[in-house]
Amino acid sequence: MFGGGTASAPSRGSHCMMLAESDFVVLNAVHLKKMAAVAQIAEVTELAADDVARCIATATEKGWLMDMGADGVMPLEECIAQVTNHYREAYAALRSEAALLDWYRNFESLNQRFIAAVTEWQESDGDERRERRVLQAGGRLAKDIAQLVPLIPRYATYVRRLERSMERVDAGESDFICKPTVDSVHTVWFEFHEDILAVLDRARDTT
Amino acid sequence: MANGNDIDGYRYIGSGYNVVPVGRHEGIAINITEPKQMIALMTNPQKIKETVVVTPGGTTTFVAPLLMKKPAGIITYAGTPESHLGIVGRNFRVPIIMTLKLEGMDSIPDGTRVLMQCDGKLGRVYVKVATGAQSLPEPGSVLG
Repeated sequence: MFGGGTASAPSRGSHCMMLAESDFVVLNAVHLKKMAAVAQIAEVTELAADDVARCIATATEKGWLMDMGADGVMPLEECIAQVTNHYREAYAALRSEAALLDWYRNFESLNQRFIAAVTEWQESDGDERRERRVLQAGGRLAKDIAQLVPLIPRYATYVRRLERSMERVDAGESDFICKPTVDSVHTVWFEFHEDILAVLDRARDTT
Repeated sequence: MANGNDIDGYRYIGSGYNVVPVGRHEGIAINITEPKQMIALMTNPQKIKETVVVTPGGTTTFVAPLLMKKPAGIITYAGTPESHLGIVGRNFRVPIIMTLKLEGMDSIPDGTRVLMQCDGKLGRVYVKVATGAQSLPEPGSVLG
């Protein structure tokens, strides 16, 4: 970890090396979650906890992450710069892919429906019909993300995470609809949205 | 200049979309526009509980960790309750008023004591007024 990257143009305030893929995956998880502990990162990245811990420790030592104790770590400016640089370099060619741009246009309307469905579910105190709408949107997104896996192989983890969270909702664990402190459908959705926006180098709109 | 919207000891400064019906909450405003300001606040959990975070818009997703620490409130100048911030805020039952339209002022200065009235669909924001004097300049008055 932290040595197997490839050379690229220097990013703001940092060295010239692009992150190794495994380091990017770990640091990107921290970046997307805004604050995360080793166990959470290992769960969502499907990497070994020891490897995650080593990467986190090195990044913290370098001043890229702030140690928040039991809450985990938060990304500091250099971590954000490194992750952003990696997105910029690794996905430059994809940004003009018509198929990806079409995919994202379709995602935007699905995203609006999902946000509305979760909001209505929250405001209905857990109405079952509204829960089904959330799960329908989640299932739709999982299928759609699967189409992107040939382009972005690491996106397979989002498909699995969505499927796991929906299974838990089906098993009666309603926290997995949108509780922010677990890998709920909404949590996964939100992180995926941040991720695809970074791949496309776009800013988020108000949702 | 008092108006019919004021409440005892507080001057009304505007309203916006209320996210969670949690009643009346008060705190000290801090404007947060970039992640490093949020990180600085995160190092002081007690201060977070007394803070009303004022942030530009609903897209400022970097404030999400603050929600877990239960700030006194969050005010944004853009966005709607049907959003990621709204969803997370409802989970934590943090007072949030979005797309605040200020009346009689351009911004809420850091350190201002703010009261958020979070009932129904419309949330109202007030600033504390010192007894016998204005703690903030009246609109159109000369500062200092």
